[in-house]
Amino acid sequence: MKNNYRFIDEFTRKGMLHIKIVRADIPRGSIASIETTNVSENILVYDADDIEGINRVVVLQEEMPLLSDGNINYEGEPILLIASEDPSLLETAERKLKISYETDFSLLAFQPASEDQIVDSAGLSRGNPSKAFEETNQIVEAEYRTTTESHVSRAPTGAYAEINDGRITVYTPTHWPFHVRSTVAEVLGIEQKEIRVIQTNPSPAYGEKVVYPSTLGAMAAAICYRTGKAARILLSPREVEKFTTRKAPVAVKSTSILNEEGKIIAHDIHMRFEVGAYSLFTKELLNRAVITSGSYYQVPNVSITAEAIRTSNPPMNLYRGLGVSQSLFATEVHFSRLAEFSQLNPGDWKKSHTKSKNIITGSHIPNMPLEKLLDTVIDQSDFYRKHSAYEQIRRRRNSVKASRRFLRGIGIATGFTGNGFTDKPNTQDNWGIKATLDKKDQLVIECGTMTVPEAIKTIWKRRAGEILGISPESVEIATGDTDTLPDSGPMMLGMPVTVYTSLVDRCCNYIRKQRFNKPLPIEVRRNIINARRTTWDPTTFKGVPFHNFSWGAVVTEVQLDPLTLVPEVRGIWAAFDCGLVYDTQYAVSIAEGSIYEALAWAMGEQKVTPRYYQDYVIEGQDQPNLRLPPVSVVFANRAKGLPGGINEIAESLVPAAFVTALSQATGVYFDRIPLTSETIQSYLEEPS
Amino acid sequence: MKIRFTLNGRAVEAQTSTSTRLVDMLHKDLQIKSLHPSCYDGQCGNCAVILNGELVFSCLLPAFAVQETSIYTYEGIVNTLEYNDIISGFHDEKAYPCAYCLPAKVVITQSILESTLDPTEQEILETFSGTYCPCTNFNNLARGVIRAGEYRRRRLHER
Repeated sequence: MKNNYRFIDEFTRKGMLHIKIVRADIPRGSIASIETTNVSENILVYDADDIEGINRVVVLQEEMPLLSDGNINYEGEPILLIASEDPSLLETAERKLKISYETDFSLLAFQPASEDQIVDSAGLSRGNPSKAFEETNQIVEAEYRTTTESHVSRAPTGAYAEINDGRITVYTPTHWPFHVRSTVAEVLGIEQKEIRVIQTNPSPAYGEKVVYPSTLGAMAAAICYRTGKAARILLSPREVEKFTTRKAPVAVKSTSILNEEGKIIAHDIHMRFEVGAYSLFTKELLNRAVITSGSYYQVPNVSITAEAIRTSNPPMNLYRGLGVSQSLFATEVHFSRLAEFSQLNPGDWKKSHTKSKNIITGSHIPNMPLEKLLDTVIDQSDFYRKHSAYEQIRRRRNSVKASRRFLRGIGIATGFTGNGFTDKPNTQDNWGIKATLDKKDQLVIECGTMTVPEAIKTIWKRRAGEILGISPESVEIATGDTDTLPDSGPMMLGMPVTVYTSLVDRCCNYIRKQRFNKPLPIEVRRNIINARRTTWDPTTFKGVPFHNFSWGAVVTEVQLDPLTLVPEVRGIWAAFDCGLVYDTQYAVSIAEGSIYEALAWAMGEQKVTPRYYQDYVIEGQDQPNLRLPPVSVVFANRAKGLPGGINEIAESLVPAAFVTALSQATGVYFDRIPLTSETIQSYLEEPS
Repeated sequence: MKIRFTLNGRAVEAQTSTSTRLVDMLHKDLQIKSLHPSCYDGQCGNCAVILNGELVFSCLLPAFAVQETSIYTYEGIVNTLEYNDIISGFHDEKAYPCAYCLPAKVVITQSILESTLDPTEQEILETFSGTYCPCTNFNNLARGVIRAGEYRRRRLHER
């Protein structure tokens, strides 16, 4: 059945029930009563008490209720499901429902937050940071913040359930079909083998398709199971944007001690992430934030802690970047500031810290690429000359407002991101993939996670072809059906390009060895779990935390209009080492796209499209200067190793480089994103 | 009310009301599934159609406004040589739109190439400025459209 490429709104059947979620009107409190007497008899009303199994969605030891258990923890929390064959009746039915609340006015805020709101924490300590801080009074201290970011994916989000041959089949655009199956089984109180999940086209996603389809799948399945009729739930674009997921805001306090040569003696980083009313993937978010903020800088005394804070907002931590883009922003802006206090060029200062072959966890990187990447972007952007020139111009200038010219600045950021989970979560299921070579030398690779992007399919086919000596055209990749495929875990954190690619290699190498010893077909399955446990200790944060790393260096040059305070990016130069790159042109295209996305986040725009560049007119031109900021992307070491993720590293470094460039342009220390002309104005008005 | 117009080269008749948007009529009543009614404010571009040779976003037009007009959608382009030009251009320049926005990107490209076979990057970005999908990098897309123009020029000259 070729349903993988249909969208969920195309699933329909005569007599199908349409489902609507009735959501809470208040941000915190409890439900006093629900009155349904005025609701038409043609409307099915389904609440938490109707759930035959367990009312929860579980993700790696964390959970949230499917429908409110009586308590309201955020505005918009699902309370009831209403269903009808005629969707036009649902709006009226919702109005006729009377839900009374006992409102709790003590909302859980992010700033300030109490200790009770800490859901989870992670951290590491090296050397003796307390002693180092006691022995000096030359301290650089700052606080950095990022706000949330929501996605604008337009493809429909929902789920469709029907009963076929006594089993429930759920269609949904998920990136984790086996999680949908386990959630539906638990909510319905039936065995997983009674459920089949088929993935529909998820389209581009930012994290909202990892867990939320499980919630919707369980809702559709619950109504279908109760009535025996096909049932479909579709979220409105507003619901998707507000209630699925968004990027977790962060507040980072960084305190550092520098010696006379500008080296960091001690460093203390304290991060607080807002995760909303329910936290999911919290441990992974915190681990990644701690590791990437520790980065490659060799500091003898360091303390890093990260905490997840529960608030009265919708859940918001599962988003592309998962803690890394936020922590790298704070780290890199802070370290550029340290370079300035040391009166060193930030390029030189960062290069002086790339001599070590280890990262903060002690993981040894034999071919540390950062110095090379820094040299590349410094050369390409003419960083030294521009930085010195802009520095001199700024020092001669009296004030931003008095300037009659564009104010220019240039900033640099470096760092790494990791591919794959830091630790395989404790789950009964092993995540893996399966490969079978048949008698006609046809190889089938089975991955239960997703509709694999074409670029990754190409990588797998080429690698399998190279290892087995067969044509890439004779490799087939099967995805997206829980009945026939192995559980491959969720599609996130660079898993497909890195982790699954290494599993494809392992499967193919096994088949190659067995090919002339065993009769065809040869079938092999390889799981993620085995090799990982020996190399990483999550309690001490020592060892190799990721399957592999993606490294990057980015320079951003900006100019600011002194009258309008609208920043404009004059150029971005980026160099990445993401391991093996088969198709450089396509890799550059992905990196550019992520850079534009990151820029939109940093500049407070909805998303960067050419539309947002129409607003300024260059003197002497009749037409608006409609263009995207010029971006140059280079990939180093692209012929070696496993491929690594590109999106995350590309979008994690740009905001820091952008903000440090604007700081140089204006002479004002910016410490948060997004930076709009209004926020720039407020910074300029603050007493220095 | 009943309206008549030409859809992908065929005369059609449809029953509609004054409050129905063109995208809804095409998608729901006439089964044009390449159109995605999603934003309803001309932001996403996923409902782009060519109306009397002009590119329009069908979520912004009332259905009755298309009386006695000619409309082309992705379905009307997909089996033509023009489509091959566009897809070849996209492929050469690594512009791989997702399944959701591909129809809109094809329709918009077709509309650009109907006005000129040698579009500038500025013209392309202007035309695409009413669309958004995170799947495709605009630089690649612009190069893909230019390359598609080259394919079409070559094909027409060879004739």
